[in-house]
This record gives sequence, C-alpha cells and structure tokens, in this order.
Amino acid sequence: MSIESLFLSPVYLPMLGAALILVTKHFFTDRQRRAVEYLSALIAFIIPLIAFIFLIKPVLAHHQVHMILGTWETTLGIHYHFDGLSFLLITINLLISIPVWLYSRKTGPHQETFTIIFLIQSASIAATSLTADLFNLFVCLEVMGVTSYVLVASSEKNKAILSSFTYLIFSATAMVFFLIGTFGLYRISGSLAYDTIAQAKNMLSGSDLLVARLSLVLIVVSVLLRTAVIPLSGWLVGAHSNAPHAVSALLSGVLIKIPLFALVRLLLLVTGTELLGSILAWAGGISTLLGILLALREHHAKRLLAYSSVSQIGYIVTAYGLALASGIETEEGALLLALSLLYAFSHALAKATLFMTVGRACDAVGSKDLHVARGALSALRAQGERFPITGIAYLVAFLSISALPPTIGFWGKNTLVYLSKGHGSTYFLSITSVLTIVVYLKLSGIFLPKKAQEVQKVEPSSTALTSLSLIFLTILLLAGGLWYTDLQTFVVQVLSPLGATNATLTSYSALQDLLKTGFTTTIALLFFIIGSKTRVERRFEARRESTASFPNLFFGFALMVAVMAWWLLFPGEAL
Amino acid sequence: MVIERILIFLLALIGFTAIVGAKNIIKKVFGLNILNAAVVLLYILEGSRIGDQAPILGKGVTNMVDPVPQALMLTAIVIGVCVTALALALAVRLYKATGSLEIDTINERLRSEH
Repeated sequence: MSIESLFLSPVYLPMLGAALILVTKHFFTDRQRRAVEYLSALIAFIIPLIAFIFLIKPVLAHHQVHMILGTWETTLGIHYHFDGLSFLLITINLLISIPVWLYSRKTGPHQETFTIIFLIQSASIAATSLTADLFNLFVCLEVMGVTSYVLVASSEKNKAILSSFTYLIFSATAMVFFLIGTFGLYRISGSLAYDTIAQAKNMLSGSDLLVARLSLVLIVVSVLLRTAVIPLSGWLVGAHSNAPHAVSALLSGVLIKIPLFALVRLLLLVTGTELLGSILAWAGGISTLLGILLALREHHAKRLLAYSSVSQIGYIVTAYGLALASGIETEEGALLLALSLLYAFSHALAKATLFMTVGRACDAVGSKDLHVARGALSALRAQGERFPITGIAYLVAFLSISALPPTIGFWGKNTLVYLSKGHGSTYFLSITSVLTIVVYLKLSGIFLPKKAQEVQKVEPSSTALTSLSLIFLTILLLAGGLWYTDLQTFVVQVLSPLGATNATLTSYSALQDLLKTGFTTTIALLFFIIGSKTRVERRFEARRESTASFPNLFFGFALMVAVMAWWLLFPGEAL
Repeated sequence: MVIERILIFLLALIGFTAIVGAKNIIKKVFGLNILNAAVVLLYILEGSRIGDQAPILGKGVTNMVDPVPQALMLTAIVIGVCVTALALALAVRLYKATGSLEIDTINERLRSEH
C-alpha cells in the first residue's frame, strides 16, 4: 500500500462512513441501522488508527510527502503535506474521537445525524492538519466550523441553539476576514500554496510588505478566534457549556487546537515573525490568568470547565508564540513547539475526561450548580455503576490538569513553564498553576458525599461503553505520565524536520519541580480552605450568567487586530 | 478601480454594521451575506485587472481575466449558502423556542432556562 493512501485514510474513510449511514438511513430497520453506525465508526476511526501505526516508521525516518490532489499542475492544484506535525495532530484527534464517540452512545445525542456530522468533522480535522494551501485551509476550517455549530445545536436545550447561533455568526464573520487576508497574500504572490506565498513574501519590501503583513495579521487573528484566546473567547463559554457532554469533550479537547497548529506550517515559512510570536506569547499568558479567574467566579460546572479551557489554551499559545519568537531552527524553539503540542495532547485527554465524568456526575445528581450538586458517587452507584470508574477517571484527570504527578499533565505543564522562563508571561503561568488547583478543588465538590443521604430510585442501566471510554482515557493519562520522557523524545524527533534536530531538554530537574508542585499545592489548599470556610469566594461569584453580546465579541476582535498592528508598525523591535 | 474599491468597502461596512448592530437575528444573517458578497466582489475585481474576457477558452479569446479568483469565489459562495441556511434554521428554532427574533428578548427569555 502506498504511503499516500495510508495518510489520506483519516480524510477519506470518515467521509465514506458518513455516506454509508446516509445511504442506508431509509432502507434498513432500526437494528440494522445501529449496526451500520458501529460499522462506519469502525471504518472511520479504527482503520486510520491502524494505518497510522504503520506510518510511525516512515515518520520517524523523517519521510515527508508533498502531494497535489488530482492531476493538476503545481500552480493550480491543492497541496497536501504529510509530515510529523500532521501525523501527531491526526493521532490526537483519533485518540480523543474514539472514546468520545463511544461515550456518546449512552449519553446522547441519539440522533443518527450525530454520527454523520461527527465523522465529517473528523475528516475535516484531518484535512486541516494535512493541507498546505491557504484557500483549502479556509474550506477545511469552514467545514470544521459548520459541523461544530450543528453538534452544539444537537443538544435538547434551547440555550444551546442561541450559543450555536452566536458562535456561527461570530466565526463566520471572522472567516470573511480570513478570506480578505488570503486575498492580500494571493495578490502579492499569485499563488495559494504556503511555500510560494512564503517565498514571495520573504522577498518583499516597502508597502507590499505592509500589505502582506496586514493580510497575515487578519489570518492569524481569525485562527486565534477559533482557538479562543482572550479577548476572542466570548463565544466559547456558551457553546462548550451548553453542548451535549460528548460534544463539549471533543470541542474543548481537540477542535480549538487544530487550527492553531495547522497555521504553524505557514508561519514557519514566513520570515520576520519573531515579534508576532512574542505578541502571541503575551496574549497566551494573559489568557491563562483571565481564564482561570473567570472560572473561579463560576458555580455552574460546565461553564467552569469551559473557562478553564480558555485558561489552558493560553499555556499552549504561550509556548507556541515563544517557539515562533525564538525561531524554530534554534533548539529552544523546536523544543517549545514540541512541548506546546504535547501540552495540547495532555490537555485534550484531561479536558475530554473531565467533561465526560463531570457531565455524567451532574446528570446523575440532576444539577450543574456547584452549591447544590453533591453525592455524585452514590448517585452513580444507584444507576448501576458497580465500580466507581467515573470517580477514578475524574481523579486522574483532576491530577493531570492541576499538574500533579504521576500524570502526563504534571510533566507537560512543568517542562513547558520551565522552558518559557525568562519571558514576562511566565509569571502569569505560575499564578495560574495555583488557581487551577483551587478551581478544580471547588469542582470536586460534586463527588463529595451528601449530608442527608437519600438515594433516588433510578432504573439501573448498562454503562459498559461509557466505562470503556473512560478507562481508555484514564490509561492514556497515566501512561503518558509514566513514559513522558520517551513521549517527548518521540515528538521532538518527529517534528525535527520542521526546524532544529536533536533538541533535548537539558538541565531540567524533575525533583525540583516536584518540590515546587508540593509548594503550589499547599498554597492552593490554603486558598481553597480559607475561601470555602469564610465564604469569601461567594462574594465574587458571577451573579447572573453572562451571555456574549455581539458588540463585545467584535470589540475583542478589533482589540486583537489593533494589538497585532504593533507588529505592522514596529516589526523589528523586540517586546 | 478606485471608485469600485470604495463601493466594495462601503458594502462591507454595511454588512458588518448589520452583524454587530442589528437587534434582529435575521438581519444579522443578511449582514453576513452582504459582507460575504463584498469579499466576492473584491476577488472578482482583482482577477479582472489583467484582462476583460470571461475565462472560457475558445476561438478568439486572448485577453482572459484570472480564472483562479473566480474558482475560489464559487467555493466561497457555496460555503456562504451553507452557513446562511444553517443560521436561518437556527433562527427558526430560536423563534419557536422563545417567540421572538430580537436578540435581547431571546437572551432574556432563555436566561431563566437551566
């Protein structure tokens, strides 16, 4: 089998699966249709996963494939590029999508269209990771967007429809600006392929260079909107908190990170992006802190998780920006990019698990209000969960997201903070580490036993698939922690064709970080105990649910463009 | 060329104002369409800088416009239609749920829901 057919399988096979369900929808009985759904999921996820196992070897040998879809000539065809980056992104997507889909079997949404849209989304994620053509990136992002609007709206709640609408209008408008940016770059280079654009841009000067930079700013800001960096994150909280649990897990876990890493292909080719990277790092740092402060004010379980996603994405963007700032050809830059991707993976695992377990717990207790919801463990047992897998999975995900050993999050966050030392936004990251633990301690209240225990009688039901998906994620979280060094070496190795080779993290001491983590945890515990005993935190709590208003959303957009304008006017100066 | 560009800019501004400022959600969707149309026109205008005949190869066609922007815009229009259809479908469901198309009223009525 050729390498092309292997790496294109995550694009084609989900499409095939979706088509299969659509075709059989009107002919088969209910039982048969369910079987077809499982078969399609098998085709769409398991076969590409196996194909990717075969691809590990060529990827480690730095085998890259640059291909043009169809039989077009270079200037007209759509370019696809398979290398370590796309390999890792698609693997992350597959590893999260499989448990999320299994989980959705039990908890819903139960419509058949859900699986169809889910599969199309998976295909679009794979295509986004592979493309090396700016307009194709636009199309992939739009497909990804449209499917996610539908998935958010597939909830039974009416609020979800409003969130989906807000998300749609905001991100569709941003994509228009993306198109304008594409226009600017096409105008100066006469091409849409990344390499030709970069070549043309790197030779420009004067006003043409300014146009090229402005176009790049519009593209970057539109992508950052999809990534939900503050001040562009207003749409995220509604969309991710009102969506069905499985959808929230996928959106927060995978979807917000893919556009960011897809863009890196273009940014790495263009020269003079050091200051842009520095701005990104600051935006990321501010995002972490503001996101976690907003999460602290929430007492709605899923909104808290959504704000925490904004905060966590800040870590990824900071490392990403610093990688651009120091240049990917330096060892430090290459390592930072690898760590940023690794942290994206670790956050994807943890946040998907959190959304799934907390969603289940909230459904079991019948409330998402953290003041009221208690006793999830006994409620889940009453529903037929003999072994407390939800509780255990939650605990492991809690450890990972709070950066406590022995999980992947501990290593991921500490190495990331260690490497980004020296940049101002590191202070934000350190403060956030403490606050993250406080926020998740607060969330853990759901699992505490109730004072007056009254167990409602519920019909016990089978939870085999849900448990399976949670066990899968838990094992990944723990295994990632145990073999983190190997994992990191693997990622650095796989990404090395992009920049510096043989980058290794030297002089990093895990013991020192272990001590630091102990210190951080102690402070966080103190904060939490003081906060909950004196009830001082309630005074800062969000009184009413804030909804994203359109003028505010676009003010954020304008603000981000304005900040980026710094790069336009003073491109040479460091920040 | 300058006057066309100014007109396109004004068109985009109208669309953008509607998206940000209009209270009615249907008008927001219209605004999105107008903004999209402005960008489509911008691309087509750019493509016509180098020629004045339709890019269909035939007898006597020498002075073609750039065909790539037109091909791109065909795709962009299709995507725009999909997004519009979805947005309108969501608007219908919002209207059924709340009995209103005004964004503030919808917000107010949905707030009580948990």
